[in-house]
Amino acid sequence: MYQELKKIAGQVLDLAKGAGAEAAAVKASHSRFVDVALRDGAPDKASASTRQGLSLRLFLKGRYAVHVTSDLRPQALKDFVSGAAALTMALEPDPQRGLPDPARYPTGPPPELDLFDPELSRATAEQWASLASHMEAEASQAAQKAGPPVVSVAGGAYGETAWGYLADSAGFSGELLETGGFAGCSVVFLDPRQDGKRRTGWWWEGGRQLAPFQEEARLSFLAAEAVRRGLGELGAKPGPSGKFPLVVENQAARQLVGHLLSALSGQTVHNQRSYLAGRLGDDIASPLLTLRDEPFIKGGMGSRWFDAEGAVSRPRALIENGMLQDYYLNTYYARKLGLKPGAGSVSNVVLEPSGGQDFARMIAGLKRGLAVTGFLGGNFNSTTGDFSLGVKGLWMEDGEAAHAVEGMNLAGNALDLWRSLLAVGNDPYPFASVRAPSLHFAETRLSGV
Amino acid sequence: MPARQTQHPGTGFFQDAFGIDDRVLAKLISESLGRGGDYCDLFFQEIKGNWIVMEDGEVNRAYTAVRLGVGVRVLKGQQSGYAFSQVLDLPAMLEAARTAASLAAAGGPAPPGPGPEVRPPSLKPGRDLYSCREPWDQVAAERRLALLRGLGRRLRQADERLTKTVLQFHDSASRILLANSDGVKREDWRPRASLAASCVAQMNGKREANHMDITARAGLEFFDDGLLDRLAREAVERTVRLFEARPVRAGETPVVLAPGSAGILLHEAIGHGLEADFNRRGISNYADRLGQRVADPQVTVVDDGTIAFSHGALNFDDEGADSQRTVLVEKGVLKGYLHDRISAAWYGAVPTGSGRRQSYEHPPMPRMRATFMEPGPYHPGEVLAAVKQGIYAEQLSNGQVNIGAGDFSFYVKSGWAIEDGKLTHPIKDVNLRGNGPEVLKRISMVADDLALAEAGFMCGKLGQTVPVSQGLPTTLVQGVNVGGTRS
Repeated sequence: MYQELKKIAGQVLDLAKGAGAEAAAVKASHSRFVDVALRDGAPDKASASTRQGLSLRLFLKGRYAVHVTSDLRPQALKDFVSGAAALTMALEPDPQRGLPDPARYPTGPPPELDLFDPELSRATAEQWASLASHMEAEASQAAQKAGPPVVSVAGGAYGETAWGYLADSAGFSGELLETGGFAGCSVVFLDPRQDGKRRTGWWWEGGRQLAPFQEEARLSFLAAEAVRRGLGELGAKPGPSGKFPLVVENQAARQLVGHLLSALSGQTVHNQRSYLAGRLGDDIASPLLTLRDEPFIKGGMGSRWFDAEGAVSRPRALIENGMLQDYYLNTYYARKLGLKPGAGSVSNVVLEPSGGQDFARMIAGLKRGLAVTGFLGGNFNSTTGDFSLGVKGLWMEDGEAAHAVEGMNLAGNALDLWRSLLAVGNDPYPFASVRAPSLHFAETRLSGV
Repeated sequence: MPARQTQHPGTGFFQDAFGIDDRVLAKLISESLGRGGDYCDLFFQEIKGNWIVMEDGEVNRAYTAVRLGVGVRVLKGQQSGYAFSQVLDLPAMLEAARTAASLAAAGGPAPPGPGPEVRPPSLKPGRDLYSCREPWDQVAAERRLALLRGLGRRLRQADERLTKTVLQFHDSASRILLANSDGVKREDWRPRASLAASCVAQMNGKREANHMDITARAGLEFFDDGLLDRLAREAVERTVRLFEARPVRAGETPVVLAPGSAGILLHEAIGHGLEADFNRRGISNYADRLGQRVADPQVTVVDDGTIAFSHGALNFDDEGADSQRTVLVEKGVLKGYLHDRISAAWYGAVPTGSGRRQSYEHPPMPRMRATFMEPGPYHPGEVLAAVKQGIYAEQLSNGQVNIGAGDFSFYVKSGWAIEDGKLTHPIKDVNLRGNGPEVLKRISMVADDLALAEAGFMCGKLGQTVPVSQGLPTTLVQGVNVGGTRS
């Protein structure tokens, strides 16, 4: 099936050349997934399917456009390419567009990234359903024992096998075959202290291999963690308004790191939409912040050996000891900005730990402040760096959780926030490509009661 | 409006292009019910989209997309099985039908074998809420480019502080054929088009940016000169106004919500909480409040799929149920939920035409369409005059709600400070948050100037995104929590 898609990709490249393209690149993709959910002891929803598609980057008489289709019938592909060429020709030329510099393609064999597990790839809907059902039953039991009225308990699991193939008219071709699985639970309690409010705790984890999901202890942990997080939200209320230190839990810190990544994107910089534009070499954060793009982490959720345009992936520091070193630059935005291309887009993002502490240890050191476990809505303005975000978590007094927090707001500017960084945890979130650790910030503007 | 037979660009498409006739539909339905399912539906869809970008006066990039497939859903009791195929030949579609059938049957024994005899479905006509002068796939690329160039020309000399403009035109058309085991067959053609302007301006070394779009289920004729004039003027005005904007003091303050996009308040504060799937499971904080007073008698909240050309308009929903106007809150009393087929059956209610899905890749669930508040008795000026000190929230975005606790949050993209009943200066970086049921109780004045937002809001839920509309008349809420940076 992959061979068939490779053949189709080659045909589309030929059709593109036949339509007059000076260069073209085709990405073919194919994936299979299983998604199962149970609720309150009974199967709820299950789906399973195969997805495939093809995208064509077309460089035609100095013009550029991208065309995507899932209709791979031979005549449909011919019509697709001729339609794509006609639209592309209607545009104005853009001399900066083009395939990567030939020197930037990978050479030698691809590194071993451990992204594929044949067992996960073969896992059936029944296997995933049995994991989900096991977790759901455990979570349900633990929730009933916990005390507060239980409204609903759910368990779910998801497995995927994905294949991607990139080929271009300069002769590059590369492919990546990966598996991924996710499993978790959610538990809804009726809050005995607040009339009518439901408190939801959930926890999901992911990985490349099936075996770790089949471990009894892992499933029990996922169930217990959902219950623990639900109980942790009971009685939530706002804390005081003022300037207080924050510790942001790793899974929530992904959002703050995500804001930083959006400001580091070459496209955002080129569009004058980044507060980090024109600041290469400047100190834009505390010296404790070193942020790297690491494409070769074994089993990493964003690992790869070539990027979206086929350029070789390499580890790269974007921020080093607080100093801005680089943006995410592909061929086009590097040319537009007069800089050297590097990491075209995010693979795995890693922050260097500043000490040996994880979230639990970091919040135990909070005299008076907020432990953030999640955000609700709000906005990050990448042009100015200003943000205003709803937050939830725990109000900490002398290293102890005084009460659960909801309905508070965190506001400020990203430059000030990252300059106030006091510690970077040693607990990177491993279930996503942005492997954010827990982060400790000094005085930050919070509004509550 | 009485339903009538319509000829639109979706009529007969899947039969002509893929040979999907009534016999094929009956065979697929029979196969889907072959493992003991009580109901199934088939959702065929072809989506064609174009997206063209003009940056700093040059139209130099475009994206097109074609997506094609059929989704098969099988229900067995409370359990649903779903599968889709992107290949519309019989063996691939039968395989999807068998997968959905076996997923729905999981956990219970059901002998595989030939499915039941199925009578071919018959076509049921629907409304005609978004007919276009020409279908989008017959509109030449040059005419889309002309729109962008027209907008670009208007922006070129609009303000010398502008340093960058990115203009985008997006159109898509979705052809749909739906058939189910109740013998219903429906066809639709759903257009969507959006013109957007992003501006960056610079003054005294400071940079500000803003974005504005006008989006509708409409054809090219919708984007006339008047619309282009207004979009250009307002996009620039909203950007340069930010140079004058000041942060606000954090805390609880009266908020006047302007007509239009502030309807996001209803979407977050009550709309999601009334989607019946959350209530059926008891996980919404509105689960046990039907028939209760939840707001002042001035407040009537409606979710309506029948507003012509609106972003949330639907001739019928994605399960084939007629679109309708659903009253959620009537004169302050909670009246009803938004149902899909599963929740309506569970509650013994009539489906409200709210079963929606992102595409053929996804099963439907209860969703909003166009959510708004009916006009009240006041003039907008009276509402403003009633506020001594507060904020006027004009453009809102980034809404989010925690269904169980009812806490919501949204962002004020542009707004003003109110002092002694007058707008004084623009404000920036303001996030409003509150609790749905509590905020509804604090609505104290509703004006007579209802408007739907022109921007193309997309609503996300459980991994699926669908277009929605929202609207509001000028409304005073006594006390909303404002997250600001000024102490």
